[in-house]
Amino acid sequence: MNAVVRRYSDDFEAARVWDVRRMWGREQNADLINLQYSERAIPVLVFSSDELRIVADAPVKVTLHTEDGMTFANCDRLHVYASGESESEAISDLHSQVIYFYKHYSQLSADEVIGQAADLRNTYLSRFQVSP
Amino acid sequence: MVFKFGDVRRSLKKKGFVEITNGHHVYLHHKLEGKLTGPQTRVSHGKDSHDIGPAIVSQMVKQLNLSNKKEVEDLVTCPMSAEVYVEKLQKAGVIPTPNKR
Repeated sequence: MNAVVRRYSDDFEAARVWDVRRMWGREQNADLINLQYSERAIPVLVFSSDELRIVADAPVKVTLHTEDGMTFANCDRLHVYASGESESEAISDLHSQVIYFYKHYSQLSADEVIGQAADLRNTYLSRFQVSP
Repeated sequence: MVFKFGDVRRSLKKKGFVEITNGHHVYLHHKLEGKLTGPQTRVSHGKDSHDIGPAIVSQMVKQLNLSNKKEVEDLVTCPMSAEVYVEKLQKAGVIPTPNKR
C-alpha cells in the first residue's frame, strides 16, 4: 500500500506535493483509494517554533495518517514521529520536535554519537540553517 | 498488553535510555557506552498513569527502531533485556557492530 508514497523516496527533493489525490483518476485501484484516505505525504521546507526557525536546503517529506482518532505526522528521514488530535496539531508537534532535535544534535560533538545518531547529527547540521 | 507512560519511563531507563526534559515532554534517548545511538521516544509530564494506545505503540516501533508492537511490549514490560535490544539495533544497522566501531 505504501508503494505509491515510497516512489518518492528521496526525502530531500525539489519542491513537490506528494498528495496522492493528484493521482486520482489516473491510477485508480483499491490500494490507491485506501492510500488516499489513510496516508498522504507533503513537503515541508521550514520548521519553526516559538523559539527558533530553521530552513532545510530542500523540502523534507512528511507523511500524514489518521489512526485511532489521532493524526500522526511522521518524518522517517529525520526520525521524528509526531501526533495530535488534528492535522494541524500533529504538524505543529512535528515542528516542535524537529526544532528540539535540531538543538539537541547541534549541542553534541561528533564523539558523543554513533550509528543513527551520528547520521542524524550530520543531517541536522548540514541540511538546515537557522533563519531569522 | 496495555502499559502506561510511567512504565515506559521506568523500564527504558533501566535499559540504557537517558531522560532529557524539554518543556512538557521528557525524551528518552538510547545510549551505549556513553554515546547516543539515535533511538528515542517521548512521554509527557504528568501522564505517567495514562494508558498507551495501539496507535502510539505503532509510533514507538519506529522511534525505537523495532520491528513490531510485540517487541515494544517486550522492551517495556521486561522480557527484552538491554543487551538483546542492542543486538537488535546492531542487526538493523542502527548502530555498528563492535568490530566495526
